[in-house]
Amino acid sequence: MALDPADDPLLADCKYKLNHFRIKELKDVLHQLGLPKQGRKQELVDKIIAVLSDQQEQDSRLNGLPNKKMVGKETVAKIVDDTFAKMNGSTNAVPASRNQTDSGHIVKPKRKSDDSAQLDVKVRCPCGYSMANDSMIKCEGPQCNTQQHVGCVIISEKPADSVPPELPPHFYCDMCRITRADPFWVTVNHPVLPVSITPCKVASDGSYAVQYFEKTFPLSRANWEMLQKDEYDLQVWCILFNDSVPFRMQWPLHSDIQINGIPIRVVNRQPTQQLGVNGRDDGPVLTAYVREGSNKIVLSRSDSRTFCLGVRIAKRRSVEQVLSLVPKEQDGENFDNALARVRRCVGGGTEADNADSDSDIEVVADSVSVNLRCPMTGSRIKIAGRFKPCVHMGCFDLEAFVELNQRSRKWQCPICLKNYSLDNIIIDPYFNRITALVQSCGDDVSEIDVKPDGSWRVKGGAELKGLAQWHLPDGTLCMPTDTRSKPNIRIVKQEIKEEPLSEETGGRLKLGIRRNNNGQWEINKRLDSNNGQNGYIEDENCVVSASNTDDENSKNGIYNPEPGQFDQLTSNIYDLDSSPMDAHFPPAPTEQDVIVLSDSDDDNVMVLSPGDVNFSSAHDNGNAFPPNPPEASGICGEQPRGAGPDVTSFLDGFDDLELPFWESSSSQDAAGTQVTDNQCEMQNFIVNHQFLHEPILGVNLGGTAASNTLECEHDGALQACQSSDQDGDQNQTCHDGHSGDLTNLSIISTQDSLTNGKNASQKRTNCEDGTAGLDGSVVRSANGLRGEMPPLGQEQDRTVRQKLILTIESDSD
Amino acid sequence: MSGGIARGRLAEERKAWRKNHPHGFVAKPETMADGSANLMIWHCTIPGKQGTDWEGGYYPLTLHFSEDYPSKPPKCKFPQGFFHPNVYPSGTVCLSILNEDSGWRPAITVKQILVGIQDLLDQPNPADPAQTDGYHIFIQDKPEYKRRVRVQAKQYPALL
Repeated sequence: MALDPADDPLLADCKYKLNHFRIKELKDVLHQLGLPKQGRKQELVDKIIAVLSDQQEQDSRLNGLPNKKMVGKETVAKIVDDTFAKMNGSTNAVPASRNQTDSGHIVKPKRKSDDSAQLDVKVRCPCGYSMANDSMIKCEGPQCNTQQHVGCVIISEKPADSVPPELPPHFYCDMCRITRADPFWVTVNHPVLPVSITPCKVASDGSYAVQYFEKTFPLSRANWEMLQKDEYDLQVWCILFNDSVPFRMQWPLHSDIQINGIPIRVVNRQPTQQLGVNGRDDGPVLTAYVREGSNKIVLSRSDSRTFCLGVRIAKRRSVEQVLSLVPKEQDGENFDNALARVRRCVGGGTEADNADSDSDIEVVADSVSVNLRCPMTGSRIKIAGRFKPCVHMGCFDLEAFVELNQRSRKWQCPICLKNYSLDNIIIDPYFNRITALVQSCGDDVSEIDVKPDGSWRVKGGAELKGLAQWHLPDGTLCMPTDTRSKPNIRIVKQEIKEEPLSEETGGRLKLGIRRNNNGQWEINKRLDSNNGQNGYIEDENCVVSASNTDDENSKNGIYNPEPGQFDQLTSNIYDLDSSPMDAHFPPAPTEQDVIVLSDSDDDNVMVLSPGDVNFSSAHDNGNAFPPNPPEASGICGEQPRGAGPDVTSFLDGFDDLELPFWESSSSQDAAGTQVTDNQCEMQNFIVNHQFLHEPILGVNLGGTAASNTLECEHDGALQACQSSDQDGDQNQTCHDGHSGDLTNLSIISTQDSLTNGKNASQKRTNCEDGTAGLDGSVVRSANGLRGEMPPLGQEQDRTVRQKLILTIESDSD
Repeated sequence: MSGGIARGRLAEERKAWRKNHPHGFVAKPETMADGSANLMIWHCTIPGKQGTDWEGGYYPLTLHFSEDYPSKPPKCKFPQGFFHPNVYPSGTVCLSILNEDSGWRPAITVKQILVGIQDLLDQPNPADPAQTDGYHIFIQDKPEYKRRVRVQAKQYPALL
């Protein structure tokens, strides 16, 4: 690689002189090199250039023998130089100043010094002329100093001779464009240098006549032997000069190629069909059709546009090699820049562009749902890749994207469809940290909640107590989360195993003992993991003291009937949660379900947002005292306003495509209602019995547990129609408002709690079968439906049954 | 190698479809002779939307995925000779989200494709005709067009 800068100027200089040689001089050079002197002028020039190319190849191979390579190259250059000097001496047409310039070119490679910037720039234009004119444009490639004629490479849509064409903001030469079009190929050399394919002339009848481009190129023995290796191939490529997608191949209409008389297929589309903006053309491989020595390629076409064609020997790159060209996470983008982008996207509300265009945007909630699934693979992103210029925050799976492009060569953002190249790909620091942390979770975990400040948490709190807590965007809480995630997984497994034993008397005693141990152990674990969080130490102490002393527990319950502050509210909830474990030992089967829910309640309380706090406070007031009619009507009045934006944002996502899905949800609502009704009847006796003993306790616990279960079900569903928190709270409050009887209020709340608890257990048991989502969806819809239609007459029952049949049909599909 | 990504994506689509899919629709990969599933070809059924002339029909549709999926959209085909202005005589559906250069995006799911085609049934696009029969009748003779649609709906009854 280091030899290239030295070789190119020498090669360019020789080409410059050879193009000005007459046949006599060309034959002299070939005679001195010991090569045959037959053929036309251009063929003689090509032979000498091929020899120079061979020298370059030998140089790259014999990197350890600098003396030999310098002698070979210098010999050829010297011969050309001597012949050029003779020609100049015989004719006085060449001015003396040009001689001095040429001498500078000759001396440069030996001295390896840059006298001026202009000497580094070389003219290499597809028109074939190496003379610079008044209008030149330079390639932007970092290691490419090529200049080309503006008139040759800048083709305007409407040719107007009087108006000079506007220069594009970015310009890349043909070689740099073809390199970026497919980074899986590395150009080794060019048997046919890029050449301009002029547009066809219009025939008298208005149609374009077929035109032929013909080129004979030599293939040296060294190149021929190189092509016999698997990783090398000879490829013919073609690009459109004024293509709106700069880094892709495109062939003219009616393209046909013959290599040594053998026809080769160029494109897969109709001859009259142009390449669309999102399409990509191939470069046919000619390796199997060429031979050592002279080869002939013919391109026939019928197109009014200007193209550039070349033949190159290229070496293949593997997926790993291409991936290594992508900058590392810290080298691609600053974390603060990524965080600023996320804040702009999330804070903008409807302007947020999520990783998956299907994800729901909850404009009413304080956070936005972001899907971590790759738009290409459909599974969760492992390494979050993105194109740096993109303004949206959506990402794709980097390894899958690069592997997919080995075949499609479409270096285009799969989210906004803007065209870039591999050079623009980076790793997103913000999302890559999240995907790395979520790596240990199950495949179903694919959504996070993001706040406008960049804080995030994982959805699916029941199984991921650690990751389900809010994290700072810079990952300050990442270490405690990692420590906690493993114990949580163990707890989940133990709970699953204990389920079958819940009906046996002996099992109850053991379960009780285990639960006490687990509960206390979990409290200790949480206390340890929260040592670094000053804000939560006080709450943890309250929990510990409450669970240890019964007297103190009952005192707290009595003396704090009206919670006025967040801390007091938290303490009350903890006290109520821990009471059943102490006061009702051994626990009844239903009690065990409630105890399971109380664990997740602790986590949820710690992450309450101001809105949720208000809801809980209102709910608590409603349960403690008889509800006031004005307050109830006010709360019910809020429900329509809450539902409106949800439906609107849901429909905005993809109106035409998503509407039938809503109808499907309605059917599931019907099925859910049936299931809920049956379970309510079964639990009727137990509920009444429990109510007589612990009226206030049952009501409070039921309300909170129901809300938590609703949240779990929401996470289980692939696409949620409404926010679970808001939906659950409003439904509960609506029930309270509609029923004036405290007894009915308690029964309804407790029924919801027990029913949801049952379904939560079922969902946990069936998680491996993959049917948890459907169960969660059914139950969630059931609660929603009841909230909307409290009275159920006989006619509605019949309608529900009919829909149930339809739902079964849907399931069988 | 990139063919593996197409199959992986289709496996995810299959999983998502079984978890949650719109009522009345059917979508499943083709079963080969040895009983295994060929993920590259899906056999689907699209129900006619209620309240439209297409109601009552369950129209079979075949999705052909290539190794370039999801970079390229699948080819969706109704039976040959299907009567609709935007369906070619071969049965291929002409729809913007199925055109790589028009509305296709890699994130578009199988569910969205099927629901989009269902919408297309009752909302043809006369600006992009794909067959002469359906197009001319739709433009010149609306009552005859509706009659033809209802006749076709009876030709594709529910399989239950």
